[in-house]
Amino acid sequence: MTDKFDVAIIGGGVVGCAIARALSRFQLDVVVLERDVDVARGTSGKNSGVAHTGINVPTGSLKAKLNVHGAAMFESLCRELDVPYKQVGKLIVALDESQVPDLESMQARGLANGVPVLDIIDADEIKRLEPNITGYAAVHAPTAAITCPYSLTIALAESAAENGVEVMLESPVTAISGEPGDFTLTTPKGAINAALIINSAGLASGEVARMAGVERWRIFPCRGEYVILDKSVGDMITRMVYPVPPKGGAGLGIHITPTVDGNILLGPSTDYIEDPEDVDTTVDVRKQLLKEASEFLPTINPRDVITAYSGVRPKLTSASEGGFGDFVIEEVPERPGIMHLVGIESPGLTAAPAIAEMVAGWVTDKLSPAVRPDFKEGAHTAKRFREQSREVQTSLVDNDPDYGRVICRCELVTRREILSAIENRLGARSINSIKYRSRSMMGRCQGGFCGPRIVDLLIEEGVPFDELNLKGDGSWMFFDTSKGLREGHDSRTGEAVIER
Amino acid sequence: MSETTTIVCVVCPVSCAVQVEFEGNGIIRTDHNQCKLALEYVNDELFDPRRTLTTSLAVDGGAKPLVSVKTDHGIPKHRVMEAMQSLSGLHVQAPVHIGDVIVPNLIGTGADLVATRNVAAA
Amino acid sequence: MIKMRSADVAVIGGGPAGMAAAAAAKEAGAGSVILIERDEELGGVLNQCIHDGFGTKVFKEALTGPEYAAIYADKVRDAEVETRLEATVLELTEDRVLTVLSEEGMETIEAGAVVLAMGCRERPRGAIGIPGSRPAGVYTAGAVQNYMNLRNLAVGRRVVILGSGDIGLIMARRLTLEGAEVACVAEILPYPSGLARNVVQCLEDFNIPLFLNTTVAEIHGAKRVEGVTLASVSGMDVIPGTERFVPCDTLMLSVGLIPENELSRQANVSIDRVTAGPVVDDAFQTSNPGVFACGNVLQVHDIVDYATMEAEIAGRSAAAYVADGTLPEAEIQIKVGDGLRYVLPSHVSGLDAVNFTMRVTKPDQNRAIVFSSGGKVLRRLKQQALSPASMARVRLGKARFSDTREILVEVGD
Repeated sequence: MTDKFDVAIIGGGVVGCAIARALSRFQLDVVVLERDVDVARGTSGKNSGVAHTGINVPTGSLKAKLNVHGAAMFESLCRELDVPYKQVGKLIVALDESQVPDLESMQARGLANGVPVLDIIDADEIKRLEPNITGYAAVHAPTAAITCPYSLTIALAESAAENGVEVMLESPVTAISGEPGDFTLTTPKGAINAALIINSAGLASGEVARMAGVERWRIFPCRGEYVILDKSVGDMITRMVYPVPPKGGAGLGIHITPTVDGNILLGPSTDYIEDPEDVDTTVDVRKQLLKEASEFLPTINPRDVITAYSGVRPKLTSASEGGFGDFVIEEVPERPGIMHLVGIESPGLTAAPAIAEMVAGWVTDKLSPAVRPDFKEGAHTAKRFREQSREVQTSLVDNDPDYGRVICRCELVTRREILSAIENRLGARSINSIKYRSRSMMGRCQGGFCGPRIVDLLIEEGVPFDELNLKGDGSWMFFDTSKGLREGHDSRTGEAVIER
Repeated sequence: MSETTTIVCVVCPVSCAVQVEFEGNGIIRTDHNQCKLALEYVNDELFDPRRTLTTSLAVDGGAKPLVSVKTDHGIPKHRVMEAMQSLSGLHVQAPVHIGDVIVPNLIGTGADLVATRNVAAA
Repeated sequence: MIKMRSADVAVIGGGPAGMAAAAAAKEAGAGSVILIERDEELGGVLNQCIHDGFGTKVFKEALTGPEYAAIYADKVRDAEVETRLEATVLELTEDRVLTVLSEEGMETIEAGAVVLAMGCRERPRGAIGIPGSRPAGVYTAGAVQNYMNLRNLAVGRRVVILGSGDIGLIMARRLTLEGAEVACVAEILPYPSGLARNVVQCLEDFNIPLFLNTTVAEIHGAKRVEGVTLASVSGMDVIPGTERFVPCDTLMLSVGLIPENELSRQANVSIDRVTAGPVVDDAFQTSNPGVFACGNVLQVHDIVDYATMEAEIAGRSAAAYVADGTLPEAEIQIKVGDGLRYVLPSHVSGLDAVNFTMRVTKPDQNRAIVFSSGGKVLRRLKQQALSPASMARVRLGKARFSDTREILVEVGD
């Protein structure tokens, strides 16, 4: 491993990983510095998973340009990386006549932004498309799509790693010094030298800019809570269903989103918070989400909630300012050599491929690298067994018995897929890393049954039981062996167990 | 000098909270029990409470890391933790068969500790 | 290549119910019986239930879970049931075709009759919506039991238990025996969810406090659980000002079990809203003829013996269905009256005596379970105590069903 790189990317979110993969097409030494135990652990992993068309962003903004361009690139990127992508379409539903002008202005803005198709439909047509949805009229955006945001981020990072990018996990940057061509980034894993820096640190992007001497941006963390409904009711809707966005609000309103795996998401709420890492879920918001979503979808039953989660938006506008803040993607003239990406919130996921293309262009302009001749485009992970036809499943197991052993039955995940997740290119070994790569432990039982089997496989693959963790150092799964609790040492090896 | 205490009878789901007045080794009277079955239970709980101890032991060279075990009779309730302590660090060599006596006369209680499952050699 | 074959009776799930059903079907004359289990050994959850108390009704002695399982695994072997381990049923069609996946490949089985015995799963944290952070150290009781009793792994050293279900109580004792500290058990209801025997022998024996009308209002800790906020409740709502912090490294949940009926739904079997299990008659036949259900997939049992007993009837019924092509109509409707959550079966043939099982809505004393038809009392069984934690079981003789179309069951005086 070299500690001298052409480009250091700070932040392993979808944008940082998309940039890393875009740069891996060139003969460059690139490092991604991620502070968490895996990529996609921040905002990129916890959102609605929507490839937006570009209806909701002001015409002429950077957001509009990158959203529409990113949306056009999205499907082929997902296909390349074998990431789920479904063009299910979206309805923005007016509950009564008073909201119809809002629909009309959204339609006009969307068309001006370059969205290919947008229709306004009446109540009958809503019922025809979505029999369970109640509404007066709606904007219908047939090209809106859903993806799996953490799968995409992970696939981008693993493809980049496959093509030579160094992805350093648990490596927060604590200081930046030097100048273009010779920056030094301080991390707990040692100093990193890089010619150029890309600050795609999301919630921490303002802080990273300050480390580099740019006192310009303040990030206002804005939490969004979601609840997830069970697959058994996943057929209540086939399209995304959004309300007319609240005036001056911080988000798009509580929406109902089908996931690529057949669940339904309700959310997100919008709560400005102090601590960007505060991803608590709350009783009040859970009730609010169920109540607001029920206005459009009266058949929602609280009993069908399988779990809840929160993500945090890195907003550039405070609660009191409200309104719109455009993406900031700029190199500050008095502190050159660092590209800052700040305030990349919704539609950041959709825009990520376009942002990556733009930022990669900035790098190639500066460094004029040669193209990597042996760039490997596709994915190299196990097939998602549950998504295959019976014929394909049969041939998979005929050729590889590990596809014949179901480990997670709620989500139908086989031993081969778990092993593939454990052996990932990034070296991520936390339980959550296996979960987000394989979908195991995400179903009805939330890991009650498959958890112990996955623990077995991790131990078989060489992870000591007392190093097994949920999401990095400190989040230990086990404190001891059962028999060792009383004895104070590991009953298998006789060695003293770590004090916790 | 008699004493009074309350013991919840667990013989049936009624779960009577039986009030017992006793002196030395004899019950003087009981109250709040709905049937006679409570009497024997209360007497045992008062003067000689016993429990079957079930636990597991580490297995060396086995297809499973642990073998489950039980005492073949109840042992005095107040000696349960002492029995657990005596098993600390004990390893059993595979194979183990259901019913195998692992520890005869566990801490002198007269009860044997026996295996409750099979563990084949690895 | 997808292999194809057939069997007279296919039993899905090799836990206590599946083992008893498969052996009973074979003993009742079914030609070929196949028992499909996803784990590497038969026994299901019994293998991790190393405590005793199993078999008090069937064998009149208190066996441990593994011992009880071994008896039925032997019966399955002796009856020459074909057992398929490490095999998962991916699909069950309405006309009883199973798609089974194992390391040997994909296989379809056309079954003359199917017995559903998939058991249940634990209600996880997400489903009950405990607010707060999402650290490591939140486990369901059954998962802790699996790690501790089968895998020699201890999840923590100081544990708070939410919910007083039987598995939680059993694990309170188990953790204490092994040297962990159980700080307390919090139960949101005004009474324990588990059996009195377990409250006494698992909590009181070890001086573990049980707080009723109490819940976990918040989980604390970024990486690993560092403590929980307990709070008193009125109904289901937290009473402000009653919150108190309890330090712990583990929160263990014992907050209910949910029957696993995903395959049942595929087979177009009607599911009861209250039990969350299939609607069945006294032959344990579901709404889809030729498909039977027993054990915890049908209703969550308090003791395994009753699951075994109903599974044996289900297995024999499946054999009879294969032999005769049909079973007697069950046209006598059973109505659920005051004081009961449900009564099983929901309709009966009247050709045999029936053991009805039911659960009451709330604890009560000195009442009766009353069976009546058209205002005429068929049977009144006095109950000194009724508890939602225990399943009530009442036998109604064959003679009581004559000239009856509908029977009301209720808690009365």
